[in-house]
Amino acid sequence: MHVKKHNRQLTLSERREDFVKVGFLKSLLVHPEAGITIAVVILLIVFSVASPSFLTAYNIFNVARNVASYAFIAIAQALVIVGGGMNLSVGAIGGLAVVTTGYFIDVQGFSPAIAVIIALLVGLAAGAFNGVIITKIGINSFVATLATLFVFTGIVYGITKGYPYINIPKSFTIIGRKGIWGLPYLFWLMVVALGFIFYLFNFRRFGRWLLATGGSKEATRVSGVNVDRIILLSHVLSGLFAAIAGVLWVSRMGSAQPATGQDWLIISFAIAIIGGTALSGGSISALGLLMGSVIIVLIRNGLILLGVNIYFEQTYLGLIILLAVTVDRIRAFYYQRAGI
Amino acid sequence: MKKLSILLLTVVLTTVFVWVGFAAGQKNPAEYKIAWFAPIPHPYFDAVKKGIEAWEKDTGIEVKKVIGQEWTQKNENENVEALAALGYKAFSIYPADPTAANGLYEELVEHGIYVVNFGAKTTEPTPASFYVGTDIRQAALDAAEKLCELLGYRGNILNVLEIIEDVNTIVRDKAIKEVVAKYPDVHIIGEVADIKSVEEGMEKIQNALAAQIEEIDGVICTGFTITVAATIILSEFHETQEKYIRFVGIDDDPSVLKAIREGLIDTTVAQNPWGTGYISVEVCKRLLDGWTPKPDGYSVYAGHVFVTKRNIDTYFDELVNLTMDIGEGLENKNMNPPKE
Amino acid sequence: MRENNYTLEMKNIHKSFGGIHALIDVSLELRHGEILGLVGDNAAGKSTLMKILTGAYQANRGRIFFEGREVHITNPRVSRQVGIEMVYQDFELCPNLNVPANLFLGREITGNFFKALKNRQMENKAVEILGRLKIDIKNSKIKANRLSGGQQQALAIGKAVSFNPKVVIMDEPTASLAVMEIEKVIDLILRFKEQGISIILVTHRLDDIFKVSDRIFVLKHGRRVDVKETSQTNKDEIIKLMF
Ligand SMILES: Nc1ncnc2c1ncn2[C@@H]1O[C@H](COP(=O)(O)OP(=O)(O)OP(=O)(O)O)[C@@H](O)[C@H]1O
Ligand SMILES: [Mg+2]
Repeated sequence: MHVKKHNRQLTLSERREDFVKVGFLKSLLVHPEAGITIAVVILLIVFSVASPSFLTAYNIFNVARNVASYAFIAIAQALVIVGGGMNLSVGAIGGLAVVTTGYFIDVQGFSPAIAVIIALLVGLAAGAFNGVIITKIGINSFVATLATLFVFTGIVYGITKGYPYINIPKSFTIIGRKGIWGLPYLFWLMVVALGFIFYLFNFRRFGRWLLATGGSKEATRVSGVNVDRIILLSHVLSGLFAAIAGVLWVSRMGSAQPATGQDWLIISFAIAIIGGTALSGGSISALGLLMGSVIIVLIRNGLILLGVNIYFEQTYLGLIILLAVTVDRIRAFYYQRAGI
Repeated sequence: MKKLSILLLTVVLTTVFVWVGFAAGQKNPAEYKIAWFAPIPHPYFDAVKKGIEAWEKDTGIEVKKVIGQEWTQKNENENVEALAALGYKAFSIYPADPTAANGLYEELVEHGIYVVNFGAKTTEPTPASFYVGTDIRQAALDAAEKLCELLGYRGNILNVLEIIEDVNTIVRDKAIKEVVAKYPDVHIIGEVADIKSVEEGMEKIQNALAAQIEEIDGVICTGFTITVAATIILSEFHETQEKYIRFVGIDDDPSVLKAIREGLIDTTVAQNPWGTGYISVEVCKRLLDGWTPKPDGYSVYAGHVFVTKRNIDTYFDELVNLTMDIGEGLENKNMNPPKE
Repeated sequence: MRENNYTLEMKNIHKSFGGIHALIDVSLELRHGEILGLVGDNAAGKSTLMKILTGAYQANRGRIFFEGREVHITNPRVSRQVGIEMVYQDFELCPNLNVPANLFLGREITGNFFKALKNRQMENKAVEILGRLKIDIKNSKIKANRLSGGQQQALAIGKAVSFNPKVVIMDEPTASLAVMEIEKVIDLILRFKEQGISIILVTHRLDDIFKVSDRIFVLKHGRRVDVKETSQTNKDEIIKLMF
């Protein structure tokens, strides 16, 4: 990349013009979410045309709800990936929250609101536990959260012996099953959560510092940021979001199934990565997380709607994900070449 | 004189007792070294264990009951080998991996130890002496038959299968198709498969419903996880939609029973884990007593019953009766008594 | 214990890493507004000594005085609060952050409203700072990993000097730069001196040291060998002291 020498000081507006001149299409390239968003739009068109069932109210509700469920899980993972770590225990924390909610409602007879608060606190505590092990004892996040994955899962089974809690009041399923303006409450909650993520990483010191930590831990440390505290906090938040996801699953299921969360891990990584959260840390995008969730849900939904042979389903899923990622590579390629 | 007669009497009685005991192959309860192993804590294994506890009470023989730490063959090997080293002579085992478990069994049998599969079969040929558990094919045939009956022998079925790598899934799938083929007005119009968690099951079943919401009249599930998932989706569906979809599932998870009780779904096939436990250790005892397997007696089927709103409080008694019948039939169907 | 002659004083500093004694009883004084050249062979302990000043490392023994008051620099934040800034040998920018975000890292401008970041204001200020330092970065929204080596170094220097520091430490600021860019950095350093900033310049390039420094401090195998007034010594003497 060659930068021309300017002798005179450019004014700010001139700088902005420079930027605008590059053109709208090309500036689209700057955004890592652009590739995946284009892929989502293509899929939406294909499925709408190919299946009359795709745009039915029931299916839209269904898709929107699944997107929301995934997005929370992906947020929980992305929050630590962005700081250069990972959380293998997202699903286990989710399971812990599910069981906590069920236990306090069913066995202890607490009101759902209080049970939910306790479950969220448990999620916070579990995340804090991860964070403390990682920052204070200095074990890397892979090993630390692998260990706590077992610890938390063990607690879930120890408490439940594998049995679900089924006496959950009907009123508790409203959030998970009902909606407003044609879309499920879960979807609106997700919009709020993604808005929070956007705000956090664009307008809060904490978000900025977490991004910085993911970019260069050393540079951030010498800039006077208490990096350990930032990482610890990111795990606390990750635990909180995993717990929120768990509580919302209880609300969807109408019961607290102890096995909830066991298959979250791969999905959480897949969505975060597809959505532009670099595995090496240092980037996150609320829109990307949304699009990552949408694409996975759309593919699974579309394949069934189109009646694809069930035995090849995984193959199609894999191929379409590759396609989405390829679109993004093409974007990145042009971005490099455009030199903006 | 008195002393002598008492002595004589004692000698005679003891002789008679020992002889009778020997003839019947009876041992002192403490001499039976029987162990039971299940891979992880799970409601199914819990129910099996209860059957064993009932057998212990009935016979006065103690069974060593061990539950593993994770569902892997390696973990199972470690646990069972440790038990063998402690001198246990007959094992009732759930094979963690249907093929790899044979390796473990071979070693046990080489050391003169008996092995009985409970709950799942190992791939044949196998060193195991018996299989005690559900007749997978028969259960699927009965379930399909039941659904056809519920549909009045007219309608479209969604066939939900669990893990496609599992040979049992194929057996179930074939059985269902065999039954449906008998009725010209019943069709399978949708299939979903490869489901490993409740969350995934919910998503896929709902996608399939959305795809053919007008057409689907009945749903059949032949696995635990998918039954729980379908129960959630159908309960919600029946609470919000006009249409009533017929349903036959498998296993009696509390959440499934609750939905049956509330009239939200039709029925589920209750397997007989209690009887599986009870019979499997009875078989172990008889093997230690010198009973030998009959040529075609390998499979001891524990039976199953349909749970509906009507018998939901009494179906367990039906299973207990079934178990006692099977116990009495062992000599006829499965085992020959020891030769003198 | 007050001594106002010096901005900064390090007294009897010891530092070892396991078995390696990186610094042995080193004392260093920095006068107001002077440029002190710090030289020594590879592994002499230059970077280590400087990192103790910035809180990246802690000394095993020794004391540090800033404007006559003892300070305990336990972490980089304390060092920054005291007024010490450092430009690191390996730049230490966040490659994923844009220019203003790097410039303001750790001291972002926030508004009164919930302490939200004022990104626009930081952007404008960044452009202003870059302009004042004559740092040539055209698009301030660009991420640091897309800047040239010279631009990155300039940005790192900009980051160190734009918040009124009293002492700026530069560790090999010119090591990876082309000749043209070295000249610019030298210019920058001289301008900072005019503003009354005390500077410690660590470098292997004796030419640069002789061009800008007031005194030269020589380290060898972790020990202070000597300190010379630049005007009263020459390269040969310094080289002899170094090896
Ligand atoms: N974090 C550390 N852990 C262990 N040893 C260290 C550490 N940092 C520095 N050292 C050792 O301390 C000694 C001094 O290193 P230092 O980096 O201070 O040298 P330097 O004078 O800056 O060298 P250069 O001119 O190559 O930059 C070396 O032997 C080095 O290996
Ligand atoms: Mg150095």
